[in-house]
Amino acid sequence: MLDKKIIRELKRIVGEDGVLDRREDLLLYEYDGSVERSLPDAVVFPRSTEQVAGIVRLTARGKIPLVGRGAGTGLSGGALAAAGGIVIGFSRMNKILEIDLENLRARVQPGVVNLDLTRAVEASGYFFAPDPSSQKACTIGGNVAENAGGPHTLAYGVTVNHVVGLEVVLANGEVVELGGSVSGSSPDSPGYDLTGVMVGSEGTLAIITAITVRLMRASEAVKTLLGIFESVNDASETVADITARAITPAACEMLDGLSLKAVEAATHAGYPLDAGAVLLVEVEGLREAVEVQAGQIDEVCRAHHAREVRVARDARERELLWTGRKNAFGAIGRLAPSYYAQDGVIPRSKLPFVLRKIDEIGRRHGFQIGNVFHAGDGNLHPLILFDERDQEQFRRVVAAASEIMRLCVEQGGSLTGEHGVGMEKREMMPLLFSDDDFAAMEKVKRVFNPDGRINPEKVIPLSKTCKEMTVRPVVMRRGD
Amino acid sequence: MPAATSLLEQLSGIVGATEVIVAPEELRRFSVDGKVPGAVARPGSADEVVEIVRLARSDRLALMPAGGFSDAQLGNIPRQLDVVVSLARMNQVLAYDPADLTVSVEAGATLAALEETLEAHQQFLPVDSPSSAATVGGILATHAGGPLRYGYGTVRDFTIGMQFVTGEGKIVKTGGRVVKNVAGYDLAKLMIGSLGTLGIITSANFRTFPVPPRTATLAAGFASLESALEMRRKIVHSVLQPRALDLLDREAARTLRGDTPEVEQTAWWLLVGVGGVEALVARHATEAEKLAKESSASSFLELAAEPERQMWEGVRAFRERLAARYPAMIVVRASLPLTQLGAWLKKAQEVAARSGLLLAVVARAGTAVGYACLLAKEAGRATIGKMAQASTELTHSAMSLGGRAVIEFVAADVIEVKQQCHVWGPTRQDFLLMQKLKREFDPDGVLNPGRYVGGI
Repeated sequence: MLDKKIIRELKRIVGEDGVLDRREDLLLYEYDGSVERSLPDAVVFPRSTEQVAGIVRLTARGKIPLVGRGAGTGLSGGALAAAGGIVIGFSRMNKILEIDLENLRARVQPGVVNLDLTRAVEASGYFFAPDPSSQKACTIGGNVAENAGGPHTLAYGVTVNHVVGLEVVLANGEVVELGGSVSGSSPDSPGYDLTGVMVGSEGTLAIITAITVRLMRASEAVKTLLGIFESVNDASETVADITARAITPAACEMLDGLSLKAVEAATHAGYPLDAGAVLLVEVEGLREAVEVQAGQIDEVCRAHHAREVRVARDARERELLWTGRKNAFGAIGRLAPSYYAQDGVIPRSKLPFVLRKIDEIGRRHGFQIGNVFHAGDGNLHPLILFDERDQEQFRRVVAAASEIMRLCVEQGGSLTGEHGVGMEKREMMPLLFSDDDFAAMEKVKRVFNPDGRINPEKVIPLSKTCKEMTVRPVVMRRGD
Repeated sequence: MPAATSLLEQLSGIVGATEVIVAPEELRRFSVDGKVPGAVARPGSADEVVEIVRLARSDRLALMPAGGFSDAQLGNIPRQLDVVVSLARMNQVLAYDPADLTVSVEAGATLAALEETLEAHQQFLPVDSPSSAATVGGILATHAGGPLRYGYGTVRDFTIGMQFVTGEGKIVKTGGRVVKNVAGYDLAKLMIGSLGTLGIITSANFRTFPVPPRTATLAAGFASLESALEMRRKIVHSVLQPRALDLLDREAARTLRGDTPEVEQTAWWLLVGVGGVEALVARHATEAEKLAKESSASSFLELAAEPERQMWEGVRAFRERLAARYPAMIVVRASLPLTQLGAWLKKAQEVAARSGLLLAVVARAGTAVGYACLLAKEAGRATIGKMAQASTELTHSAMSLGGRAVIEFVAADVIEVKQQCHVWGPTRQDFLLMQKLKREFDPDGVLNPGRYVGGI
């Protein structure tokens, strides 16, 4: 519990209406899009960097934990107050501070919704490349914290490739500018790449208060193909072959038969109901390149026994297919009372093998597993369907998930491609890293966040031996 | 510093006697800014690197990690230099999975050797750094790159994992071998561009890229910088997607192409490098020619095959080519907002003219990184003073235009320039954090002391 005096002081900084501390209000901030819950002691809504700095200074003496939060769409518990304390909600810091098209830059507050930035520049022919499926809700501050991906990061890179500078508040309340200025370019800034290490640190190093991003010129042409397959195996062989032939689509997504049924029932996007799997592949660029690539992809699909390869006829059909894909996680909620989403990554040549293994793991544990994922970069999202009310199932789903994670690591992959480690996968990190690796991460943390009160109990594990995930899976209905 | 014999013995105990160099005439080849090391050690494994770092900590030795020595003059004059740790023997490709477009390679592998491995599968790493003798570790530590960064980004954008030995002598791994990965802090970002001051890179993993089936380069000549930059602006904001977009002034063109009448008649060249299928290359050629006309270009050439290759080879190695003609030379590199590149280049012309120095300009026009090469036929105290003064002025000009500049190269004949100005420019507010990082990763200051930003 927080001292009443602290609450009064918080209200003095952000205004009476900017602080929540009643239990019924706090319950809304107990969860995010993930599997964990943790109740904060208060939530504050600053309007400016100065107010954030004020909050950080106020809470420094009591070493009160602070956690930044955007839209709460995260999938690993990154925005939860794991150790209690204060959640800093960025919903009032949602201004686009500057758009500088001539220099291909924008500067935004952390609470700006991802898609709003693209909306602000698309009429002029530009876009912000990272496009997580939750982009209609998730914030750029959250994207930076998690180093968010999305379907089109296959061609354009993830968030870190599009962030050139950050303004952050350090644990002592000091405001520091990292990397380039509004128009500068961080790779060339002399000195250590502090921006680069801050992106993807899951909010555990400092509180981000402003972000300078690159904008990109929209492509001349885009073509969306839907490859329809009888089996997941054929579809995954196709992806491995597209990669091996070094064809580089802008996006390459897979939906398996189970998820197709749910997606189609939810969105009526025109996905086939009787297919084993589909690949949603998009090519972008100049007309000439798009034509050639689309032809190559069509050819590879057919070489792997695609039943049919469709091309979206117009923008509306394309939009529908993407709406289906981006809302797929939510649609899966139709199939079972709960599901548990994984975020493993594997080398792309291993896709056919690993998907067969995941199916086996599901069967052995008695679960159906849906697969909706970024196939082109090997980023799997197996969705394990279960009933959370059944304690026995609940125990087994965690065991099955851990087995899938171990499989990804054994195959030369990683525990997370875009959702983050957060609270969820923290104790599995020893599968990937040694004590010395963690010690090096701790060093970085000490520099920025010496007493560890900024987003505590995330990313770096307590125990250096791997444990199972210690999570309590719940239903999720937000995007990935 | 301990006596050379004992240093020789200790290093030999770690890497073997044949892999230690102490002969003075050989050591001179490894000198940095006139400082000659006491020994060169060539470890064969990360474990041996660890042992060398431990020795350095206990005996207070200063280590300089080194690769191909192609960029060894970057940074401040070393505060202390005892042992050059040459990664030359650690040059193996550890794993190459062409079907996954990923490669894992030891830090001492040269870019040329790696390119050869990848070429067998029609793949490449888009790091066209100035010298292909450069090693993977050196490229990462100096964050080197070339014209292709316009189309592919820098090595920061396609490094997916790394192993390094910290100044404490610990082997640390970060990232992995998959193309998308957010598990743990991305320590590779800290290592890239850190000039070996936090750790010694021992291996790295990259994503690789397909070699385009065809390439061509469109070269447009201009009478004025404004016109060249107008065409640059049109391309950057168009749907065209060139791989490289570089700018050369007359002096740079002369160095690369010789004194042909065409070169003499042209003040600025804009080079548009394109790659892809035939139709794509043709489309770029047509549109670039149209944009060149609209921007009042005085000439327009299309280069392909050998002439194209030679031209980019020259652009990559322009510093070396210029240095061969001018013994007195420094290079100031500025990274600017796109809209300010022109202003900074004008400033460079004005400063050079005022100081009586010659100027050659190469710029990554598409990413607004300008290289102002200040040249003189003769070294000497007056030249050194002028160069120090001019580079300081250009550094400040870059900052006032919203960018940053560093002195990237100082030729041996004018090395005193480094004593007269900050090669990395003034430090900023985030410098305190950098100092703390340095203390955490290299508590005894054994790695490249004094050479980095703010004397780190």
